[in-house]
Amino acid sequence: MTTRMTVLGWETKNLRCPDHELVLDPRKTGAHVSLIQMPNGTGKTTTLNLLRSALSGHHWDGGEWTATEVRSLQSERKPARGFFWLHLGCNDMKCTIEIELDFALGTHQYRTTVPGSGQRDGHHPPAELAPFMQPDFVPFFVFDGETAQQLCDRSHTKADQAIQSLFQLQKMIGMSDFAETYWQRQGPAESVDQSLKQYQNKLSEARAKRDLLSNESRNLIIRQEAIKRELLDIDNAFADAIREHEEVKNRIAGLESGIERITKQIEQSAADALRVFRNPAAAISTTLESLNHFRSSLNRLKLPEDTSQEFFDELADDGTCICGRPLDDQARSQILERKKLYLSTEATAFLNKMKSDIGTQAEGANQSILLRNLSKEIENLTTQRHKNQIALELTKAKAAEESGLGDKTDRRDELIKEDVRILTRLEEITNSSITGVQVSKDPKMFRNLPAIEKLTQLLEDYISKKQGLQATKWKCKLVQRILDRSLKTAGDALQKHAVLEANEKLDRLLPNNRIRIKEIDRSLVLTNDQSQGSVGETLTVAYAFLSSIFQRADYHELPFILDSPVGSLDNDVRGEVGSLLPDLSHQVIAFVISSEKEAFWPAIQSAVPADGLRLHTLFRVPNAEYESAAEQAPERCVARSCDGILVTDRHFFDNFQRDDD
Amino acid sequence: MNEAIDNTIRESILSATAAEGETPEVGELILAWFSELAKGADPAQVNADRIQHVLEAIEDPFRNTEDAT
Repeated sequence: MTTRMTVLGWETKNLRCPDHELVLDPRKTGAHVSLIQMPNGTGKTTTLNLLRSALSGHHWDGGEWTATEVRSLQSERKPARGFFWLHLGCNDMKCTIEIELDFALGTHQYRTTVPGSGQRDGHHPPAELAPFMQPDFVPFFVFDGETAQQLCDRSHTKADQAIQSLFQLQKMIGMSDFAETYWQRQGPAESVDQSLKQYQNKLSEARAKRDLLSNESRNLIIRQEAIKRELLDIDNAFADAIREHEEVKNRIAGLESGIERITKQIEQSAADALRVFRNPAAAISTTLESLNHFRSSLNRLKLPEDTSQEFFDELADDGTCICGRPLDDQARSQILERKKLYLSTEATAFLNKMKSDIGTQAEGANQSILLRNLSKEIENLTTQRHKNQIALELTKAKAAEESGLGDKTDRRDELIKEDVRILTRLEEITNSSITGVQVSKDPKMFRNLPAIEKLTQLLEDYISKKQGLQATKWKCKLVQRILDRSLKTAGDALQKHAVLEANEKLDRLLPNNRIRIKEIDRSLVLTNDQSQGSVGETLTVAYAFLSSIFQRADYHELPFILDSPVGSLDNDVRGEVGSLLPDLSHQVIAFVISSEKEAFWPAIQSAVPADGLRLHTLFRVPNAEYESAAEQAPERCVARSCDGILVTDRHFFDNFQRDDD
Repeated sequence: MNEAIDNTIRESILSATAAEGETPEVGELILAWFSELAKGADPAQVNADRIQHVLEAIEDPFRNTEDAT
């Protein structure tokens, strides 16, 4: 959808130009070309500057307002404050931008009014118009001779900038810049590639170490099984050898039987000792003494016989207390209430049972002697079994020696020692209780399989994350390349098109002049080594260029506001420009002085139908001659203020002439 | 969707996208981003979302790096 900006009108109050209200709204006036005739000294430049300031939100030169500049706009009547209101249309929406100037303080204040949002402090144009209502772009559609000069001046970049701004190519620069910052915000930018490489190397080491430990573990298990098989073979060989010697065989059988019997005796004695130990009073004399002391204390306190709750129930039924005091209802109630604080029947029974049990325990006091005996017996049996086991081993070894299996005994010892070492190492490799594994650790230092597996996983996760970041960077760089290439391609194509179009217009505007646009290199580069044409030529080239790019950018329709559009042109060119200007935009507003009308005015009249033209003449009062002439105009076409008169009558416009213009 | 974009710009973005070996979808997403900004959207409001859409549409160049490492 095309975005159309329209200047609906403006109002001024207490400023250097006469107070006036200008209505330009093409929807009301039907005019797309408005000529505003203001004699020199009426405040034409002031009005244009205020238009630039209202449109851009900045001082008219693009900078910030100063107190001196604010005060320079004060009316000769010396009011305290001055106002400028610019009414804009954005498609069907209306927007008003107000500038309030405080001449005493030298300050300014912007306000923006948009229907539905009310008035807000500051410069807040509709979003669709905002890209064009910027200090660096407003001069291209509020246009004067200075901007025309800069378009052709090699020290300025105005031509390039005009295309970039109108087609918003600078948005691509902003997008590219954002892509650059986007990936940088995702993580530490500088060391991504280097650290990724570093961690990838570490992951390779971790994987190699993991494989190494895994292989070691597998080999150890294989070796362990081989040891078991070899041990079994040796034991079988021993068994075979023993079977061949009857005497040795019987001796070994006797020893094995003895060991078995002693083991059973040890188990039985241990069970007896455990039973005794379950009664600490019987096993330990000091415990029994303590319990007897506790029982005596209960008897001495006559517990629990004298403190049962039943005692208090009986007392409450009696008429007098045990102390002889008569008991009333309140006292009885208290006794019954507080009896809960004393022992119940169940608690009394428990205490009686405990006293009885303590008495029974005293009878088993000699159990401690039994416990000591059992302990001694277990000790003797264990010693005896150990002796039998040594005798058994020696007998077997001797049998092996006699059977020529002596080397097998050494081998068996070696295998058993190796099996122990393997078990220890396997425990070390496979222990799953791992702590402190971090990506910063050196894989070479790991001796545990679950730990190195965890490190590998951590490194894989870490690298995945880093790769995600690297992918983001790579993608952002790709987007930047696309945008940079697009910017260059689009800029070149739009420039070429603008040069072609503008030169076609110049063929018509300056048929007898060889000056043309050669190329756009920051500024407009003219042909035939003419670094700069005359003022008139420069202005003509500027119109041709701007009209070309404005007409192309038909999805953004902007008004075109000109200051003295043909003031510096020869009459023959004025006519051509007059016929060209109406095509510049859907709304052309030109500030003119009376002397500019020659040649230009007839061309405008030819190019624009009468109902498409709106003519204004603004002059200061008092001025007897003009006021008298204004009285001849229809009353509806005359608007008077305290210091000026605005006439919108065509006849008045035609005939208005001022000698010093 | 991108009617506010000059054809020259549209063609430039699409051809630049193709020149980088990316799909037209990527180009259209960049166009949509540009279009939104050209219509006056606040970059602070739209840039992050828009670039995310574009990046998601670009194939991950490191997808198979895992095997290489």
